[in-house]
Amino acid sequence: MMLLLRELKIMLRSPAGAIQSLMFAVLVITLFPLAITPDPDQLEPLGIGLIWVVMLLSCLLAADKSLASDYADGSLEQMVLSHYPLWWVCLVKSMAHWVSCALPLLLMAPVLGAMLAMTSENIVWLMASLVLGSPILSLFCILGAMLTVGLNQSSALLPILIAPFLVPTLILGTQWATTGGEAFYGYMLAALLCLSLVTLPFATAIVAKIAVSR
Amino acid sequence: MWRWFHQWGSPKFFYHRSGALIPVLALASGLILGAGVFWGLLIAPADYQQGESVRIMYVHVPAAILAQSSYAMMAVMALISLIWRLKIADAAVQAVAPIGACITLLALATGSLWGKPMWGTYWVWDARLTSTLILFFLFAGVLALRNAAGQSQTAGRAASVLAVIGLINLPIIKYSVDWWFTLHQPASFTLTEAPAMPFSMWGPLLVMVVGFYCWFFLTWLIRLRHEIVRREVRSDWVQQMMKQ
Amino acid sequence: MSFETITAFLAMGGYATYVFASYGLTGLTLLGLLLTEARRHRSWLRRQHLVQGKAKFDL
Repeated sequence: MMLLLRELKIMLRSPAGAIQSLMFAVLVITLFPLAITPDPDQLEPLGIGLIWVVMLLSCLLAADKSLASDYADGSLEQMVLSHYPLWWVCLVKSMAHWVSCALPLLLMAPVLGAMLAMTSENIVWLMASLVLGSPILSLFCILGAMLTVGLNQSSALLPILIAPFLVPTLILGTQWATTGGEAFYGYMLAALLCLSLVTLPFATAIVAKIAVSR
Repeated sequence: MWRWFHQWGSPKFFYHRSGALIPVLALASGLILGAGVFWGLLIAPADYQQGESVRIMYVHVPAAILAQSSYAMMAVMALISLIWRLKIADAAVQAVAPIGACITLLALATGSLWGKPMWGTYWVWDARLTSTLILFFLFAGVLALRNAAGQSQTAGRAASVLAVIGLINLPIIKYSVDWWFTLHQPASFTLTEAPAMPFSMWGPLLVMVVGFYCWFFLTWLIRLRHEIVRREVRSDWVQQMMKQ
Repeated sequence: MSFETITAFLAMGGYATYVFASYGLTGLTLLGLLLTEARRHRSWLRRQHLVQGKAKFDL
């Protein structure tokens, strides 16, 4: 619990990370109509997919930074050696990543959706799918961050490592939103979330021990 | 019996004993692949729908099968190296990764070349090609991590963990891609699911698959031996071997 | 034999480019990887021998 509070305090002190993620998202969403077409009829069916991809990219970009400072000042090693169960530390890190990167985007989703001429019903389902799906993204991103922490080109390496694992979440999330909430996809997404919550923190803990022994 | 297995875990034993396998595997791959190509290219019949282009199947399908199973083998070796801390298993992972990546690329390229006569375009986002592409990214990830993390033991362990996670995720990824494709299958596109193949077709296919595996184990073995000797260059047995 | 003449074989029912390109790529990849690895190992051994000093090298 103390750990969670610490993470939140750090994030509140410097909201730069969250703002950066938001800016990146809005920028990319702006680029799409510029590159493709401003015609709302053509943009509307693409909206859900585009915003999902932007969420994915933002999470990947923010992931690298999330552990870098902890590694640099040695607090990562402290956490590994501390009496906190390591899986809990990793889970907290994922939660912090979600709050600082995915949550702002989630809250901005209506605005982004409007920029892409989405209907309000679509936006609601988009947000629902992001609520279920973005924690999965965060969990995987923290795993990737732990795998690449301290390495030379970790920021370029992390997306390459983790992107394939995000594909099922992407497919399920976009499908659930596109079909207006068909139950099957929702259940599958929820199942994936539960599976990730239960397994990924432990996997990240294993990697954390390896990372710290570098 | 267990001791026999245990022996092969020692780099020195493995290196000295596996040398004999190389000419055997080389001969086997050469003969089997030669026979398979001859059978598939010259003797096997053309397909009713696809004509002669069906012959590409005899190289694409073995490559695709090998791509997937080489990832599985890599991940199993990774698991062994993580659980039992066997250096030779780690060397095996490093040895197989580039081979697997190349074979996956080959599967993609031959699949694409098969696609042009079949569907009219070089690339189609169908389930198989898409999941093969993702498989390539999985290989690339393991290679990239290995490369960036250096040669230390911890680097090997990080890459091994990634490989194992990849293996666990692989069924989930394949399932979701398969399912995504069936949802979005364009109306004009018909999956050419091969009906029960006659022996004249699955015969050469089987031969090619076996031949590909022989080649795979041969190349893996050569790379593994190289890895072992390179890693153990300072050890006594390697020094001895050099002096002979 | 599935083909009547050599010309028919080379034509491959119109798909010659694709079929031979595939087989060619496959041959190149398989042989290429094999020979590259074999050569790499051999030359490494040779260099080590030059450093250490003596004769026989295997694959």
